[in-house]
Amino acid sequence: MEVALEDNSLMDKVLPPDEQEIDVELEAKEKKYLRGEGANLETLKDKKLKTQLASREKLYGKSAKAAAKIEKWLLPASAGYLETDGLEKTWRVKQTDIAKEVDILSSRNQYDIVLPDFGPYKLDFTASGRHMLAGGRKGHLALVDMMSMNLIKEIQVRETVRDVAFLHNDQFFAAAQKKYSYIYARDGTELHCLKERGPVARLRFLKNHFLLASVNKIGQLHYQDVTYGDMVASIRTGKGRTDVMEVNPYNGVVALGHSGGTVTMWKPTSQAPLVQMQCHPGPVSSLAFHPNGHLMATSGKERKLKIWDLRKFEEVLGDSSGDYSRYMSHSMVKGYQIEKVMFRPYEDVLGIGHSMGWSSVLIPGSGEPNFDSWVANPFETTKQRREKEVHLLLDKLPPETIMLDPSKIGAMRPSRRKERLTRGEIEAEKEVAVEAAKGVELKKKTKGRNKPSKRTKKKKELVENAKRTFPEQENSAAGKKRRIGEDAAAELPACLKRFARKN
Amino acid sequence: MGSLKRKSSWSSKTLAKSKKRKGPHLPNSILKIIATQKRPLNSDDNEIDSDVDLYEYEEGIPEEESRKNNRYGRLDNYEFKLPDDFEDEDVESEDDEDGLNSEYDGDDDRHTRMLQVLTGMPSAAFNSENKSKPLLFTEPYPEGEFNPTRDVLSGKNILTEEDFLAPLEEYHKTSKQISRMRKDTYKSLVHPPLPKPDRERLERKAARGLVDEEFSKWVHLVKRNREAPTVYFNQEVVNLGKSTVGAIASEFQPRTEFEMRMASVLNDNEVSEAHREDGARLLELNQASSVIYFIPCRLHDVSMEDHIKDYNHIAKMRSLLFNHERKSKQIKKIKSKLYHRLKNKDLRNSVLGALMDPEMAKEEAMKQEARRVEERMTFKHKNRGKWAKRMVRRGLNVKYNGTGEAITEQLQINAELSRKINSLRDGSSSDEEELSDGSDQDTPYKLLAKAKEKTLRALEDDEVCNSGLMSLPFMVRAMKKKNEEANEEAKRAVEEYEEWENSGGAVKPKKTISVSGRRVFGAIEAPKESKKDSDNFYDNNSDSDIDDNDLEGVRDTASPARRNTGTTTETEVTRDEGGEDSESEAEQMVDGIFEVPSQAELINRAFAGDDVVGEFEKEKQEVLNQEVPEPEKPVLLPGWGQPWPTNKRGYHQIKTTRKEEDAQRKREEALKTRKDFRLKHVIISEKVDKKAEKLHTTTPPFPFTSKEVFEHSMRMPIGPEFNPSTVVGDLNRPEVVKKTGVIIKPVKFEEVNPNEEVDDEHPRNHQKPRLNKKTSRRQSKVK
Repeated sequence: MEVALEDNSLMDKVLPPDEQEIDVELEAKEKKYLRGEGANLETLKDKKLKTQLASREKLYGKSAKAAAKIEKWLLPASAGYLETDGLEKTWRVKQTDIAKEVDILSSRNQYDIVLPDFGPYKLDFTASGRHMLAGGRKGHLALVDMMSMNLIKEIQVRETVRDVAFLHNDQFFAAAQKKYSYIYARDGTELHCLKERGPVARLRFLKNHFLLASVNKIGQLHYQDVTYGDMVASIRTGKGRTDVMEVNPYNGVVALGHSGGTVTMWKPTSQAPLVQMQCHPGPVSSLAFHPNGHLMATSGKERKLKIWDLRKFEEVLGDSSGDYSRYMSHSMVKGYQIEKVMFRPYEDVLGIGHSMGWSSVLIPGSGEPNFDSWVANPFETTKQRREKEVHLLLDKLPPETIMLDPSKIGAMRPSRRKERLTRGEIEAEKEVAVEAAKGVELKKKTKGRNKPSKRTKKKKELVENAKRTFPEQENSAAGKKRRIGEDAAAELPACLKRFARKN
Repeated sequence: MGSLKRKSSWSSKTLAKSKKRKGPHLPNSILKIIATQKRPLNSDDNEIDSDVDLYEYEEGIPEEESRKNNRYGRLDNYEFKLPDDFEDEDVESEDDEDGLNSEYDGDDDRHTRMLQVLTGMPSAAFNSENKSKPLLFTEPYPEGEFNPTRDVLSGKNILTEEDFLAPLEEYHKTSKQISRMRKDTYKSLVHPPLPKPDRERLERKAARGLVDEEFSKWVHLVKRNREAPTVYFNQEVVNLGKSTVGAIASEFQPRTEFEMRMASVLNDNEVSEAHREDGARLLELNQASSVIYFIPCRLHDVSMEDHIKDYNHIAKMRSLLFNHERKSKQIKKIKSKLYHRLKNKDLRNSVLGALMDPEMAKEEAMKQEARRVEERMTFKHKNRGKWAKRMVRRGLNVKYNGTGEAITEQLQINAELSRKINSLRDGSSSDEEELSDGSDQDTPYKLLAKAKEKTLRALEDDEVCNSGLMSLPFMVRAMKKKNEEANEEAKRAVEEYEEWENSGGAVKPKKTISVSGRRVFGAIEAPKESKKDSDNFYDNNSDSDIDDNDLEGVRDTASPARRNTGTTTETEVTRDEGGEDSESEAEQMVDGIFEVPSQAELINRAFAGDDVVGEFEKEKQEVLNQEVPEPEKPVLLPGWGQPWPTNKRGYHQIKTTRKEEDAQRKREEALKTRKDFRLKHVIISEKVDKKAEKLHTTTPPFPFTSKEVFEHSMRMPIGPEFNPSTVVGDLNRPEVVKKTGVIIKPVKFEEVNPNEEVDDEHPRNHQKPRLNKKTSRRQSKVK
């Protein structure tokens, strides 16, 4: 206490020794929160803007610093991991081994629910990871509170259920059934029957945009706004039937995997796919996105798993490389058909839906350790939930904000004009052209015209011509610019001509 | 005289003068006064001039010279002419001594001599006369020792003080005094004032210096305000006064008469008491007050009876109106007898009516039948009537369209009725047959006999039409062959019938129907049924042999049908299996019988669409062509717009023009700049999303000029979700913070330390010292 008091009395003239030490970790975090470099203000001519931006940058720096400090000191937990000693491989560690080591609360997350009657189960978690929805193929829908392991509601729809999805919170969920898809309330009441989509194969909810996306049996992609029930977009993919569909959590782009091995990405405002990628030689069997949206994992029927960098659309070196290797394995009983695998948010838990019910296994380090109640709160009270719902609705994003790079919103419109060639490129092209001119075979002409002197002259001319085209281009560009200025001056009335900018 | 002469030389000047002197002839005295006022009195020469002018004949400008119009040819004035603005300064100098030998003086001499000769008088007389005219002096005083010379006046050889003092320099004693004096003289020396523009410039310069100094005091203040992210106004606590509704209401003072009255009622103790305690009392008071305050005088006069009367009258009128309306509505609903008759008829005629009522239907049927009978008996509609005959005889003119139509209509009716009869007959006959068939099921013998008979009949009549196509030899042959086959079959059939007759077994007579000599196209119902039957009772069918035989008998007809049924059933089965497959899989899984597909199968599955990559490339090409379209090919046919064949072979070479090449090059460049240019396995659409265009700006917003700076400034989110609460307030503070309803005072001068850092982070803290500063300054001022 005394030391602290002294520190206070010293005021800010002398920094305490702890702070004087350069904390590399803090700096790295600060950099993360700064979200990139500030602009170079030296180039600015406007002094007012310059100082304003400088003060702004200072505030940003302060904010980043504070955030970094909060992350360093106030966040209670850090992500776990599986540590082995020496040569032991992590993937040899079994669930039973883990169970011995972890605390009771975590070990309670290892279980198997055996429900043999209603076929392979689809799973879905709410954003907070508090609630789970299980949909059996043969019509069994169950809503479970994962914290207390209470069954909240269980209904039998007596129809094939192909997929289930929570809407924005645990109060509503959608189920894709045999002919139509339906929306149910938490207590199992059927609220809506969504007939327009046809027999739906996969359902996903875009929580920032309040869109329920679905792909049906004939390969049509539908986006429906659940706030006012309007069909925002219905797109014919033209790639045939698919049941591989995932949403990129970063930007809301929907990705579909097709039988031709392609993965297509869609947004509701365009009929053509944003991106098409040839990922596998055979049909794509499943898809997944990293929460930051930069990585995508695909698996094909040819038993291959690939990881893609979505910023470059290139394959990140696959499982053979050091970065991505097998982390853990869990063997199921032979004959269990696995329908769905999903990590539970904010927990190191993996839910596996299979033909005999569902299982839950521990994967250390898989979940985000610290929840942010601004984003999702697993311990939400009713009042908070209601408040949150209103906030979510107020913050709802319009469908056109779905794009590959949402950070570009509010920025300048990308110019459609092509960039001019750089000097080096022009030089290279010039060389190529000169070479081509030199290599031209001259025709053999009649006796008088075929003199070697004439031939060399002709050749020189050709080369000259080839060379001449390049500087000419530059000149012409300059001339054009000048002309544009002149035109502007010419258009002005006589009295204003003197104010026209002289180049 | 002299003046006259001078006149001629100054013609231009006099001319100008003469122009001026037009006007009323004034008396001499007045003119003189005017002249003296105009000119200085001492200039005698001018005086004389003016005298002369008064009495002189003035020659106007000759018409040739006036150039008013070009009546006269242009006359060149060879006389030397001075310019109009010529100032005759040197005139005086002519009178100088230096110019005595000038022409003018010479003239004078001659003149005097002439006078001398003429009059005989001494020249002095003339000279005196001449001298009496005062000469013009250029110098103010006569030349002399004490008067300044002309040089001095012109400023050439000015005598300075030095000149005076130079002789005194010799005396040493006085030298000091002199030097002092000199100084004094220098001091007292007054320079001429500077020209006005220079003076003004200097003044301005000085003023600017002062103003600059005054204003530069504000620079720091202005700079600080400009650069501050937030400007605060009226931070001092200001009492804005009451603002609540209650406060405003409590201030209310009744002013108008109405308000006064209201106030008197509202504030009446009696009323408020009644309101609080006794309802009945309040009612009483209300009546009283209403009588007093609210019933206008006019209404006050109306008695109760009148009121009731009025009320009744209104009620009566209203009821009358209502009745009238109701009546009119009823009338609208009432329809004539004819209307109803027609309506009923329509209903009866309509199929609906018939369907609705069985009795009606029956009636209808009866009627129809009657009509038919009538038609059959009378041929009423065969145009055999008197009228129709006449019409036909006259010829169905185009002139009367109606008659033609009527006749055709009648014919139509006839056809209809007769057709109906026929169809009815057919139907009935077939029914009968069927019925008989049904009844004959009990008696197979009869049926068999009938079948036999029929086949025999078929055998007998070998009608062959020998005309047209059938008469051709190959057709004849074919027919013969067919006939033979048919005959054979028929014979076989007959044999079978006989056998069955003999055996007396149960027979399904239906099957025999199809057995006939005729060719039959397409499948017939019966064999199908049999097939189905056979399917169903395949194992336990006792007379399967019959079936087989039967089938054999109708092979040519039934076999395709049979095949069809077979295949359909098969497909159905397979489909069922397929459908159940996925469902049953689950069940199988439950049972633990999940088949793991073999490696070969897996590989097959993996490379099912082998040319997936090729297809993708094709698709990419398509997309590229769509987004960056290929340049249009020339519309002209080859050869058009080109010189005569240039190729060796004599064909037209299709040359790509420069334009096309350019377009092609452009396209290639466009393709190169695409993001997916180097990525073979990726197609990135570069279509512009029009809906998303509103989320971007075309130009950077005002203070920004460059794109980069703007985008960098936009990179950080400023909301509370992304920033710690300590900074959110600063990040989102508005540019101006002020209190509503308070007048913003103009800026006051205060000392600002220019090197002081603007403290944005703690505006509140920042504000306080400012206030303190102000107060302290005030205090100091007071001191």
